[in-house]
Amino acid sequence: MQMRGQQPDRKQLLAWINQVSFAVNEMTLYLDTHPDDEDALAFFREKLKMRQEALETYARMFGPLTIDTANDNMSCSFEWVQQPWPWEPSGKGGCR
Amino acid sequence: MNGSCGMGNMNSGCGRRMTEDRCAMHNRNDGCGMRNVNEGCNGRTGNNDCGMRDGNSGCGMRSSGRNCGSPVSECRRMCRQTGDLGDMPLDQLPLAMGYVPMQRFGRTFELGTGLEAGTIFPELHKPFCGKGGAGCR
Repeated sequence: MQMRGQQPDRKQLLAWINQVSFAVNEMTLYLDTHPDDEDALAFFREKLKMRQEALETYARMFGPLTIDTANDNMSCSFEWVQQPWPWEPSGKGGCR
Repeated sequence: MNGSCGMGNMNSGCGRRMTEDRCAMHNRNDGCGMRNVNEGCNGRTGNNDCGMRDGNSGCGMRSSGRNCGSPVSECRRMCRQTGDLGDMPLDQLPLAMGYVPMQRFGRTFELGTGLEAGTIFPELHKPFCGKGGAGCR
């Protein structure tokens, strides 16, 4: 799934982040033993960029997943602590 | 498995990093790509007298005999001598060594499939289904 333009829902976006993050992780393993493989490096950089964009989109729409994107939303509050915890039901926006 | 293709990188004690890839992507089945079999770097299998572990035969770690010098540098020298064995068929490789084929970057799974499969590399997708690999689909 590629996130282009349309508004993804939270579950879709999270699934995409998991998928692209896994691909990034796989590429780090490959590049550990093939550090000069240019095709692999290009693929790695592409997926890394996609992952970063997805994380930033998520932070803007639903709050930051990690502290690295905690500054990317326009909220006046500290969204990091305002959003539902992962174990809270997400269907109704968590237990807030 | 590609037979003797793409073997390499055992690094038994030499720590040399394998970065160059002399085997083109399209030559997958022609016995190429093997490199740097560090024959003799393991003190127990080589005929060298400078094995890392074999402290009693000639000059191991504890013996700073003038004929052999440091076991590590000796090992590195032998690694360089052995060099790239990439074109050697499997049955001509030195015995008693383990060989791991080098992966090559090619097609990847669609990312959702990759996460479910546990790898984005189709050639590494080896699902366990309780029977032999060939029939495991």
